[in-house]
Formats: sequence, C-alpha cells, structure tokens
Amino acid sequence: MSVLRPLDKLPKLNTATILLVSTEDALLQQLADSMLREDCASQLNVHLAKSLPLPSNVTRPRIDLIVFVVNLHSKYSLQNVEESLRHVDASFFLGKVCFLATGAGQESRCSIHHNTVVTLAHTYRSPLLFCDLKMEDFRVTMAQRLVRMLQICAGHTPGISALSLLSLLQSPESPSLEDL
Amino acid sequence: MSMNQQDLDPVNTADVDDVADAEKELIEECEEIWKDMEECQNKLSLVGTETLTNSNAQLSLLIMQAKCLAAELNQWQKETPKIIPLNEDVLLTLGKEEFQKLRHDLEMVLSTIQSKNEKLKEDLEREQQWLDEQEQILESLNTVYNELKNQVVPFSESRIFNELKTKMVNIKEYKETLLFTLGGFLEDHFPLPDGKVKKKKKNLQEPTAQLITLHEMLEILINKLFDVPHDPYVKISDSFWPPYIELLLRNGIALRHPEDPNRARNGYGSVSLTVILQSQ
Amino acid sequence: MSARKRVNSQAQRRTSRGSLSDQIKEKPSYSESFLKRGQNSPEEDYEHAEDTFQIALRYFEKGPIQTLQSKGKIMEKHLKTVEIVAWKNGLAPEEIDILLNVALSGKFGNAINTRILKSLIPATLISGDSVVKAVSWFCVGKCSGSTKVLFVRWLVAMFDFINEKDKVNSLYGFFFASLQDDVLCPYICHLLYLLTKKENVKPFRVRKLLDLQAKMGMQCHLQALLSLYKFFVPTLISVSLPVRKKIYFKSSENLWRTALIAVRQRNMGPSPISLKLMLGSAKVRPVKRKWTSNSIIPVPNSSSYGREYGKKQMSLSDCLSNNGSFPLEQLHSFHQLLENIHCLELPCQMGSVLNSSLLLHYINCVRDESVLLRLYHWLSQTLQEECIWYKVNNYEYGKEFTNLLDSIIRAQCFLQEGFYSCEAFLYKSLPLWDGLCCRSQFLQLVSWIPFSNFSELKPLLFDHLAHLFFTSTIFFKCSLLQSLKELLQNWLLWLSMDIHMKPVLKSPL
Repeated sequence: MSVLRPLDKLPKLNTATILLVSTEDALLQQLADSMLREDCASQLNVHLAKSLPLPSNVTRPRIDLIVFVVNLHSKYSLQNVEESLRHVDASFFLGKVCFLATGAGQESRCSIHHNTVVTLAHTYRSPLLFCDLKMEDFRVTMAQRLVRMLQICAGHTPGISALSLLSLLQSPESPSLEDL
Repeated sequence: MSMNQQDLDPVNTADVDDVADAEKELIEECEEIWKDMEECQNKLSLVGTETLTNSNAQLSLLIMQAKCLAAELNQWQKETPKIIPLNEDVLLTLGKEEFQKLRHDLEMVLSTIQSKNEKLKEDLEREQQWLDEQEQILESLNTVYNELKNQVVPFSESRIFNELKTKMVNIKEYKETLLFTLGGFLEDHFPLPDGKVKKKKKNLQEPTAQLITLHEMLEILINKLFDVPHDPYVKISDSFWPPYIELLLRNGIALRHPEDPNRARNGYGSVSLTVILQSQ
Repeated sequence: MSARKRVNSQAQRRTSRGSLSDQIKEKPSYSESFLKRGQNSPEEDYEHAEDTFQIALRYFEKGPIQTLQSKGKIMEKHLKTVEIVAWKNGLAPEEIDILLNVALSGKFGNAINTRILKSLIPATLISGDSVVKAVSWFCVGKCSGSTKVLFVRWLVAMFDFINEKDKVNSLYGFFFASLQDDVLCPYICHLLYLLTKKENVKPFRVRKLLDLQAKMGMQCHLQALLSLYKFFVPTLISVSLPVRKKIYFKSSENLWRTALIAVRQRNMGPSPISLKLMLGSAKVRPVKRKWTSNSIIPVPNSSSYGREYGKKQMSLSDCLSNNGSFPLEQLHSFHQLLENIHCLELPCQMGSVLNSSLLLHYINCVRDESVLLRLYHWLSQTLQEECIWYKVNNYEYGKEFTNLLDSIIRAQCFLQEGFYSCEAFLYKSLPLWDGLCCRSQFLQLVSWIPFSNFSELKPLLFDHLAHLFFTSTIFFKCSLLQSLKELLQNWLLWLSMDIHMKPVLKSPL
C-alpha cells in the first residue's frame, strides 16, 4: 500500500507536476488539455488517475499538487475520492491538495449536497473550488487558476509558499444561505 | 522548505566567449544549492509517513499547519536577501528581462487607464443629464405647487354640500344596482324550496311558517348590524330555512351567538360581497 | 400556394379523417371551416398537426364519450397532440379558454386535468375573461383540491401574460376568501401579493390575516402579504414585521420555467432599444400590443388603461375619486412626464421601470417604500430564475442576462440605492462564479451592496472573493480592488446622507 508523499524525490529542473484524481475520465482529459495549452514559464506535467494508490511500477516525478475532482451528480465519485484520501500522506495537506467540485450548476441532477463537499474540504483543511467542467469557457478559466496554484506549490513563484497560499485561502465555517 | 528556483531558470546568453566565465560562476552556485537540496532530501526520506482518516484529520492537520507556519516564519526571519553575482553579462540579461516585463505591464496599465478615462467621461455625461432632468422636475413640481396654492377656491359651504349630495346620489344608485343584481343572483341560484319535495322523505315536516328568501335573511342581518351596533343579533325564527342558515354559517357570513344558539349575527367578512356574474 | 398544394393537403386530411372516422363522430362541416381559415405554412406536416390539434380540442370540449371501448388510447393521443402543440408554439387565447374550462369543470379525471394544466402555455397573451370564467368553476365544486392548487400555481407563473388584470383584480375578495383552505393558502398568498393594489387593503382583510396568523403561526407567506399591506397603508397594521427578510415565496414556476423562457423569446421583437425613451411601441388598441422590448423586462402596463375605452360598468372607485390618472403607455417624452407628474400611476409589473428612465425619475421623487418593495420582489423572482445562467448549456442567454444586469446596475446608480435582491443573488452565485463570465457586471454589483456589518459580510462575500483573488491574474486583482473602493465610497455617501437626513426629519413634524 504505497502512500503518496510530497517531497519524496528531488524536483526536476523547471518542471511542475499536477495529479488529477477523479472517476470522470473525459472531463479530466479535457481539463488536462486546457491546462497544457496555457502558456507558463515552467514546464507542466499533468498526470491523470482514476483513484489512489497509484501503480508503483511507473516512475513519475515528484507531485506538486493533487486535485481531487468530485462530480456532484454521482455519489460514486465522492466515495472514490474519500477512499483515495487515505493513501495520501498527511504532509500533502499543507497546501498541496485541492478539491474541485463540478456540476454544481444543475441543481436538479445533483445527488450530493453542496454542503457535503464543503464539509469534506473543511475537514481536510484544503481549498474547494467550484467549476462546471463541461463548459469550455469555465474550464479554461479554471485551468488558468490551477496553473497558477501549481506554480506556487512547485515553488516557482518567489516569496510565497504553498502553505502561505493555503492560509490565505482558508475560510471558516460559512453560514447557510437559507436565511437570506 | 520551498526553494527559490529563480536561479535555475534558463538564462539566455549570447554566444560570446567571455560569457563563459559568467556561466561557470552561475553553474557553480547552482551546484552548491543542489548539494544542499540533496542533503535536505536525504534527511526528509528518513521521516515516516502518516495517513489521515476523516475523524482525526482536522485536529492533526491544524497542529501540523501551526508548526509548519511557525517554522516558515522562523526561516523568513533568519533569511537575509541573497545578491545575484555581480557579473556584467548576468546583470545585463536580467535587466533586459525586467525591462521587458515592465514595458508589458506599463502598456497594460496604459490601456486600462485609457478605458477608465472614457468610462469616466461617459459617467460624467450621464450624471450631468440626470442632474439636468432632476432640476427640471424640481422646477415643474414647484410651479405645480404654486399653481395649486393659488387655485384655492374660496371656501363655500353650499358648494361642498352640493358635491357631497351628488356623491351620495351616485353611491345610492350604485347600491341599488348592487342589491338588485344580488337579489337576482340569489333568486336564480338559491331559490326557496317549493312543494315538490322528494317522495321518500314523507315524514319531513311541512314548514309551518312562511319561508323568507335568502335575500331577505341577508337584509335582516345587515340592517340589524347597522341599526343596533352593540347588539347585532337576530333571533332565528322558523321562517329561516335551516339549510340556508347552515350555508351562511359554514361560509363565515353569519356567526352564532356564543351563548344562545338561537341567535346569529353577521360576520364582518361579508360586508363587501363581490358579485360574480357568470357570462355563459 | 397553388391549387396543387391544396389538393395534396386535402388528400392528406382525408386519410387522417379516414383513420379516425370510425371512432369519433365529426361534424361534416368541419373540413370546410378548415379551408376557410387560411393556411400560413406551406408544410403539410404543419397542417396535419393543426388538424389533429383542432380535433383534439373538439374532443375535449365535448366531454368524454361513454360508449367507446378504446377510450383510453384516443384520450392519450389527443392529450399528446395538445401537449406537443403547446410546448412547440404555445396556445392562442381562445384555445386556452377552452382548455381551462375543460380542465376545471371536472368532466375528466384528475390525471388528465393535471396534464392539461401543465401544458397550458400561452403563445402571446391570456385574456382576463378566461381567468374569470375558470375561477368561477371553483364555486361549482367539481374540481379536486390538487387541481385547484395547480391552477393557482399556473396563475402565479403566467401572471405577466394576463391581459386585463383589472378583471382578475375584481375577484380579489374571492381569492381572499379562499385563504381559509390550508392547502391553497401559500399559493393564494403569492397570487394576492402580485395582485394587491392600494384600494384592496381594507381593515377587515387585515384583521382576517392577523387571525390566520394567530391560528397558524408565523408563516412566511402570510408575513409577506402583511408586509405588503403595511407598505400600502402603514396605519392599519401595528404588528412589527421583520424587515430583513426579502425573499418570501419559493419559486413555484419550476413546471413552466423553460416554456416561459421560450415564450418570452418568441415575443421579443427585433428592434433595438434606445436608452432614453424606452417604453415600447404600445399601440392604442390593447389587442394588438407588440412586445418590442427586451424579453425579460416587461413593457409598462397600467391597469386603468382599459377604463377609458367605453366600459359601461361603474366601479366604486370611479364614484368616489375624481381625478383620472395618466395612462403609462402614452408617456413618451420628458415633457409629458413633467406635465403629468402629479397623477401618474405605477405599472402593474414593477420590473418595467428598469428600462424606462422616465419612470425611474418618477420613483426617485415618490420615495414610497411599497414601490421599492414591489421592485425587490420582482427582482428576486427574476434573478432566482435567471440566475440559471450557468445552468444553460449553450450560453444563449448570456447576452440577455448581461443586458439585464446592466439595466439593474444603471437603476441602482440612478437611485443611489442598493437593492437587497441583488445582494442575495450575488451571495448565491459568487461561490460558483469563475471570475470571467459577466465580470464587469458582477464587480459593479459588488460595489452596490447595501451597508452592513463586516462580520456579516465576511463569510458571505469576502471569503469567496478571496478565493478568486489569490488565484487570478493581476488584472482581476486590480479590478476587484477598484470595485471594493467604489463600495467604500458608496457606503460613505450613504452614511453621510443619513447624518444629514436625521435633523431634517425632526423639524416640521
């Protein structure tokens, strides 16, 4: 049972690696394409995985940022993510893990409530982003944001570390919007 | 624990020989830093792994975050800014890059400010127009006010009296039409039972007294309400047909007296009955 | 349209008639009436569909025929025809009239009535007469409770499309009496909220509402109606009502939402809107009114317009009040506004003031709380529904939505007043915003948030903005900072105005 560790290898020069974990293959593929199309000073590697643990027979560079993508329309993707979380070392959660929820727009088809994902992200003290990955414009902006986060997590941005970014993105318990 | 990798970015150098010295210097520096990193990596690989579950995640992560933030803070406080090697070529190349970036940023700032300027001009025009319109409204309202003030007709009792009389006549006419239509409507849809009672209820008592129409019942209730406001109760006599009494009670148009079940009064909700004419 | 076409269509019709003739008795003069109607579309399919639709209508009108064996299948077929035509093109006012009567008269079973009501989508308008006729069926007591509820929900959803609203208003007392029914109560409250005018607020109604509230407890729909009454006639109600709550009714339009969007799209005309004098080209005869405005924001429509055109009935308010009000459709220039500013009446549908700068001037002068309340209600309904911009897959409505947001922002800027409904909309959609779509409109909406505590604002607004801020480009960061600066400016202005207002209020009174 191999556990992913954040600093297990030396970094490659000028390279940043991101790992996208989700059961939704097509969406991940499209997101990876959008990310690779972004122009960025460092070289990007995008790895896709359905779930953790990763097969140990492949050599891969050290991973700088893990993004867990949850599809709010299927309970299975949430389960998958929760199980994969057990194979991640605790020190990853110091800013190198991020949750992404897709499909929040179509409320009628959501089988997972908005709040479930929020509590999950809150338990693991990691930021939660919402995006409808099916629509191209939103996907492109999300890819831009992820690339920026990746650069910070890989240390390519001087002056700010993954942990400081995390503390900027922390949000305390938010009140429910029902009383508005 | 994050490395400042700016030095590792590929530096575009011209193919000049005396640049080779600058390169050597930089590469030596990089090698030193790399050796430091390898040492740190070795130390790190000795640290064990730890996984989390949902229940213990929050607490342990918070503790870990606090420790790491404190360590980072420490590191920042101890650190002194490092100077890049004061080599002419390095400085030149870095300088060129910085100026390129600066030029790009300034161009963006220029275009933003130009668009902001235009937007401000538009806003100014719009606000000016609104201000003018509001001043015009203020003027016209003032003129209307003055006109009305000067238009005050000398107070004459007889004129007011006549106005009131015409109003009353109009309203009385309206009331008559309403009552007439109400009467017609009630007659059509709530008639008195005639003698053709179904044969199977032979033991039904024949009504002993003369039944009055629903219209008359309502009139009695309303009149009592206006004539004797402090005791607007009407005694239920045999001339009221029981099913109609039930109808009035069930729809809230009439209320029983709290103590005496034989008396009823008008419920307020019905004072404004709207007549719906079915135009079939 | 040559003769050959006609022959083809006639042949088509003959075959269709042939298949049905053994099952339904048709009037022999039926096909002639068809030829006289004048075909618009050259397609045979369309004529065929129209044909079957008319057959379906006649079938429903006549009522169920007891003697048929295969009654279920034919019923199904006709229902399907009606549904297809309704969802594709919408139904004409006369057809809606017929179908409403059929659905509410209880001739058919509950399931069929439900299906008919669900597919009652207007093409252009719904006439007030048909609504009155439909409501009169309630007295007969033949339709079931659930049908009544569905009908009231339909009325609420289609309220904008009803033509002669004063006819429906004359039924106010009737609707009010139906508040007794517990099941109908919330929906009737919503309908009354849309329907109420100042003359409908009477002391006995207020008393009735308070009684109901005492019986059923604090229900938000009753509260809504009470607060509306309070704004019309504040002296009647002494009970204190919560001020902050701005969204009262759950949007019950789910069933017809997509259809409504389609109807509004259909009615939208191609002419561009000019900023200054936007009041639609309403023609004098109300029957031929065209909707040339932006489809989301309705054309201002005054309720007293119909009275000038030869209505013989007298109404009570005619007897008591002497001054007529200036009909809104004729308000085209600033000059007219100046002349008639003392006798303007506000439109039924408050949303229409957003596009009309003249009416905005008027509202600015009037400063009546009830006006703002009605506007907020319309805004919250629209934004709750149109907030689905990110749910719409093809992004078709993006341009319209941006235009709507622009007009709202312009109105806020003019009135120098932040709208609470926009605030609520912002809080709901900020977590899902990607930072790029409608960016300038969203940032401007941020700068118009009404004044409130930092501790309240922080979790709702600043935390989500922080997420976007730290992961976006420098351009976004600067724009956001600028809009926050404008927010502070607005707050300072409001606070300074408040300080000036307070001594003024105390002096003459």
